Amino acid sequence: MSTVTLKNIKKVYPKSHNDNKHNLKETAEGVLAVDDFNLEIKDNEFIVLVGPSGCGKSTTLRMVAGLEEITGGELYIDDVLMNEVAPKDRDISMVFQNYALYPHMTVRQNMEFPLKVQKKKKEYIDKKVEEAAEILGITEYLDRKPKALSGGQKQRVAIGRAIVREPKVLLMDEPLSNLDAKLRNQMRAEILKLRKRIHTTFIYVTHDQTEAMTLGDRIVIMKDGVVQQIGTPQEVFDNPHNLFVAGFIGTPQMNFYDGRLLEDNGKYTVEIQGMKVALGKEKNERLKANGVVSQDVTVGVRPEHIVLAEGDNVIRSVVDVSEMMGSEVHLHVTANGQESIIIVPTNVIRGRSVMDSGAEVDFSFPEEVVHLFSKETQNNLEY
Amino acid sequence: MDVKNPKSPSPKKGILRTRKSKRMAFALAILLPFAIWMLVYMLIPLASVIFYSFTDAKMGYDRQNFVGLYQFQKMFSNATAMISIKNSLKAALVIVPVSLLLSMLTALGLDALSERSSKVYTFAVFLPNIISLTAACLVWRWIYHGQYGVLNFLLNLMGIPSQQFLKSQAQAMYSLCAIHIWSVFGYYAIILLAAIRSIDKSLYEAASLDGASYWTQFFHVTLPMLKNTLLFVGIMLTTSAFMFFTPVQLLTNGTPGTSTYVMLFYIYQQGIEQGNTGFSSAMSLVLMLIILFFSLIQWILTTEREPKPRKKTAVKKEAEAA
Repeated sequence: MSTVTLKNIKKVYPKSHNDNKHNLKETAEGVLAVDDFNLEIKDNEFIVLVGPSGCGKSTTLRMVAGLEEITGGELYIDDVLMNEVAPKDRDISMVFQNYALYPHMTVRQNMEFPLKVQKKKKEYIDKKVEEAAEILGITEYLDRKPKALSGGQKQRVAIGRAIVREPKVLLMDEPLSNLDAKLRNQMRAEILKLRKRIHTTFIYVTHDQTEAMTLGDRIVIMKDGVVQQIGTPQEVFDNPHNLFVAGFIGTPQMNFYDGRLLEDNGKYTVEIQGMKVALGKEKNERLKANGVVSQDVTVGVRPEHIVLAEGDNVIRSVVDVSEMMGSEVHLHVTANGQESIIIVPTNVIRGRSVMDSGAEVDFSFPEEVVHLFSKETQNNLEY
Repeated sequence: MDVKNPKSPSPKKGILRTRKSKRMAFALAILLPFAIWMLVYMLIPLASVIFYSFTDAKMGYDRQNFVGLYQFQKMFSNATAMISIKNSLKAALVIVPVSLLLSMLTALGLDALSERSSKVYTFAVFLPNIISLTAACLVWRWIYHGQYGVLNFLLNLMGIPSQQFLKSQAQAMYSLCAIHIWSVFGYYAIILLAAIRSIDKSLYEAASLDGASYWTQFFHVTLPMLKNTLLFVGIMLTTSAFMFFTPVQLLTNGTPGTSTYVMLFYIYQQGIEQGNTGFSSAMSLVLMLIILFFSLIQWILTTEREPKPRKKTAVKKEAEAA
């Protein structure tokens, strides 16, 4: 267990490295894959780097591992500068998406390998391997070769190989991406349990925001090589700092509407498709503190925060399709040409005809769930 | 769906009626030329060699008599034949390990180079393969020349006296082996390079994070992952080492003494030059068996054996669960 500090970390690839289309910034030196990454990871913390593919999350992880050179900035593990230290001397282990198990070795030999390289005593190796196998429930497969294992079992072995050494930092690069949905959920829970049993600092990379939300103590959301927001799952969910984070975190995705923010004597009101929502005290104070003036805004509201409503101050919409999810229903509706999703508990909707496509539905939302984003900068106007 | 009455005759008749037979016909059409080639140039000659080795056949004579194992007996009591077998074994013992090592090191070197320079060097390494060995032997004759050879010139520069590479009983065989190694190692280096490049890079990344040094990675990742390729290269090299002929024929003709008589050279002398078809057939058969024997040894040594489980209980449990 250790602290990891990333200071202004930067990664530039030469221009010829990747000629594919990308949204990354290009400088005179080359393509900027990671730019100005700053993060202090506490001892024993579980950090998740999340973002769409090509956002630089894996590159960042590989820089921590030492598998990619760091172009600029400083990387510290336990306050020791690591930029020029070889991977084998960083006391880090890593779990790969494709498992990276040695196919010619048995499960036991795979797990023994890092300890044998360290020239540990045989009794110690046996004890450690059996402990890890016990934790991961792979004791009965110890004498099999990887090719005789299923994807989930292989990933357990890969995790086993990573933990026998008790590394300072455990890196995981999309470890669950090759598994099917059911196994992924199961392994996610296993990783949570594992985390409680072994004391080490985790850095976990995924493109799946559900994994990020459920696993991370803090999550780092990245896009195009740039950190968008760092915070606890609750923080980034409740207070997304920009439009990208708002759209990326949460399923179904947050609904966005074109609206207008009106300021009148320190009191703010949002107008969306004819519906007026007067903002409460907290929001008013924050907007006022930021000196926000009347302007066109993008209004974000999460599907689960929208309520079916009646009366005049509502948004009128028509149901396109409805998805019965069991305890809740996802209504896909169109209001003035803008599509949105509304999550309604099944018991509320029971017996009503709103689930039929073509049905007219009126909805509204309370002021405290409204997120306001600048049309210009796409940043949250409150933060 | 249109379901036909099984009793009604099918509209198409003939061999190509079903999909299976169509596929069969396609396979045959593709394989037939090769099958004919195999028959004419491999199987018939092989059968002839086996047949003639039990006869007293001589070139130019129509009739031959069955003589049982006489030709083999003659061969094993013939001093030159025995020397040629010994020389062939000696050549193989030099050529196979040295070529394998050289190919492996070259492949590792090429792999470590940048993509661009690796292409240039790969071509350079492959070059001996596209040069005619006959032409190359003429150059080698000059390189090895006792008085004017470039090799002796270099040795003299280092203060070492001139050597009679092709005329000394002790050196001639090794000098010829060096030519053979030079002509083949590049080809196998490229085969090994392709195999090295196809190894999943994340295995090396995992190993380097696990603390493995370059050589630990080489012995625990590269080498085991190359096992099948190494087996292939080993067998091919063994075969080529026993088929070693051109440099002998062109540069030494088996001399000095009988020190560079190798099996194929002696077979050629006996069979083609002196017309002893029966004798040379028997010797060819022995050569084939020797190659087969060494290939088999390599195959056995590298065949993967399933690990034996340490505990019986786990297996039992699984069986019960199944």
